[in-house]
Amino acid sequence: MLEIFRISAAGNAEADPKEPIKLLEINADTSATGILPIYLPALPDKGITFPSVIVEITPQESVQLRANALTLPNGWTIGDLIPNPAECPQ
Amino acid sequence: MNQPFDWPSAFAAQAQADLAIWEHLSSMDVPQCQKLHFLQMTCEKLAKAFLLKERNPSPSLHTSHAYIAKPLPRILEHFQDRISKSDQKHFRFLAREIELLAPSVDDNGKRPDNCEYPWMDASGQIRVPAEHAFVVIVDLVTQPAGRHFIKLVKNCIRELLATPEQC
Repeated sequence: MLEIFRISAAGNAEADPKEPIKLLEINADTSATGILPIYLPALPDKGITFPSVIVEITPQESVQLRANALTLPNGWTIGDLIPNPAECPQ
Repeated sequence: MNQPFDWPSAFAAQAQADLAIWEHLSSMDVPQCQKLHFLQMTCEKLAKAFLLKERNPSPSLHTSHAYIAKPLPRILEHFQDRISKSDQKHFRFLAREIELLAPSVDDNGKRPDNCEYPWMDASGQIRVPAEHAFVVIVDLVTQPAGRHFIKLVKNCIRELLATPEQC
């Protein structure tokens, strides 16, 4: 895993508690098969209380996404980079 | 037998039937390609069942075979707590190899080997799936992490069919 970014929904959707947590993951080990959002539902009985969406792409696809050669669905936009704990000072 | 299906449960039911044939063939003396074809179909239909259930938007869902490598490891991890990091890595590699078994998924021509149609290899030789050993993927499937993968695939299909409203 190289980088993880938040994905933001259009408008005020992020204020809705039911809006899933959405992450864009840049992973050199994944396959370059385009934008495929994977919706993972909440499973409260297994301790997963929030629904989430994962979009996993290769570094090359990340470049295409930034250049708008690939696009996120639903008007989603790329948000903040999530800091890597391993790179944070103790 | 003639119960009504929605798309997700229909895909899950067919995945279960494909998996039963994979298991049936596993101990038989038949070409690896025939066995692996059913494993590839199982995994593809399971991933599509889940994606359809969760209304993941994708216009190519009914036509593309490249729906194993990215979603399936995530789906298995979602339903199974505490998968070791080494097994997660194994699952990803195995899922990609399974995806590549479909003739239409060839990594931009770099991986023409598949379990259905003859192909020409890099040296210009024509290869026949029934004569091919599929060494890498057979090794991946038979390792403990590979058997763990198959077990989780089976459990996930069962869960999709048993409690569709929760999957």
